[in-house]
Amino acid sequence: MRLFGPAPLPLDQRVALDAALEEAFAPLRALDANVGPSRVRAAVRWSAPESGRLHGLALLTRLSELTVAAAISALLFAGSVASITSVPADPDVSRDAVSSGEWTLNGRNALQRPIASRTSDYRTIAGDVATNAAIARRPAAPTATQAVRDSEPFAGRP
Amino acid sequence: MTRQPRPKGDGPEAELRGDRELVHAARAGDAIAFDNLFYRYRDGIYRLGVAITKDPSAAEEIVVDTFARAHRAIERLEPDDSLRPWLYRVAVNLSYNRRPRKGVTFSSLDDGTEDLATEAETPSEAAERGERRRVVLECVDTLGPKHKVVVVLHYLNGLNLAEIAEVVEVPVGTVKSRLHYALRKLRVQLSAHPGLDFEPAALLGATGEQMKRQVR
Repeated sequence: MRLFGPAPLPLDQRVALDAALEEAFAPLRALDANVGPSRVRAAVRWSAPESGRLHGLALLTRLSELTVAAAISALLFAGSVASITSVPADPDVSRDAVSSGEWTLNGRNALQRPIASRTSDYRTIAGDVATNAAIARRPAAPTATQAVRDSEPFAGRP
Repeated sequence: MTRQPRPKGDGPEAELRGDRELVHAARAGDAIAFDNLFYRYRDGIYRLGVAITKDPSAAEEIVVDTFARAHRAIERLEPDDSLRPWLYRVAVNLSYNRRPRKGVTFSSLDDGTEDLATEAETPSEAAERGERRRVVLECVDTLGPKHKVVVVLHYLNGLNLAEIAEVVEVPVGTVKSRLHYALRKLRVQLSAHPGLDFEPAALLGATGEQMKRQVR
């Protein structure tokens, strides 16, 4: 703690300093600013914050953008994970069309029907098989034997 | 530096309206009231900016930035307080936070335009006055920021100690102390110039360190 500081300036010296400083600052004191309030308004306008309504609209827009982005990302992620973890199912061989031999295994070990096959629908195949089976089970009808004589060239014809 | 005619918005009617009334009117959206405040304090802030930055264009930007901040903060300003210390505080902070432009140096506060002889003095007297002014301003430039801003606010802007204390946000006693030490340092430095008719520093009660510096 300083008990004795430097002595104050004597009055005459203080007056001389005041006069010197007043004289030195006189040219600066005569300066006028060459700016108007329009520059202030322009600065305020350029740096003005957004209104509350516009701010809410921007927030809503940004939220919807984020939602769409998240949905697309989730979709892509789920698809990539599913393609890795999915095991090809065993081929269904219970259908008649499969057992008929028209199905073939493609490169991904999946059953694939021939594209050019007429039996593009399994129901058609099943119907055909059923029809063929019915025909096969039908007893053969007795056929009448007619004696054809060479002397009657058109015998037996309607 | 161009001199502008007195603006129309700062007429006798505007001078009668105090800061408090103008701030209230500006809050209510009165653009003319804000313009009156601008014209009232524009030049003082500009001079303060020139004195600290020594760059007239930077000082103009400081004026614009100061009033832009005032416009944004007009709702929060306490109308009971004087607007002037608040504006000067913002201007001082902006002036010291502004980085000097690269490649541009300003050697002195004085631009030399006032050194021309008037009718009442001879050219030699005018030259002597200009030299004395240049030396004083150079000595002011050597002061530290805390002391320089007190000197500038007091001798250039005409603020009293209480207003300076409000600007620099220190007690009045601290302002008085800073002004005292600034004047002592100026006195010592000015005494070192033989052309100036100042008393030698030994008579001023200078400290030993100041005496050594002056002897050197």
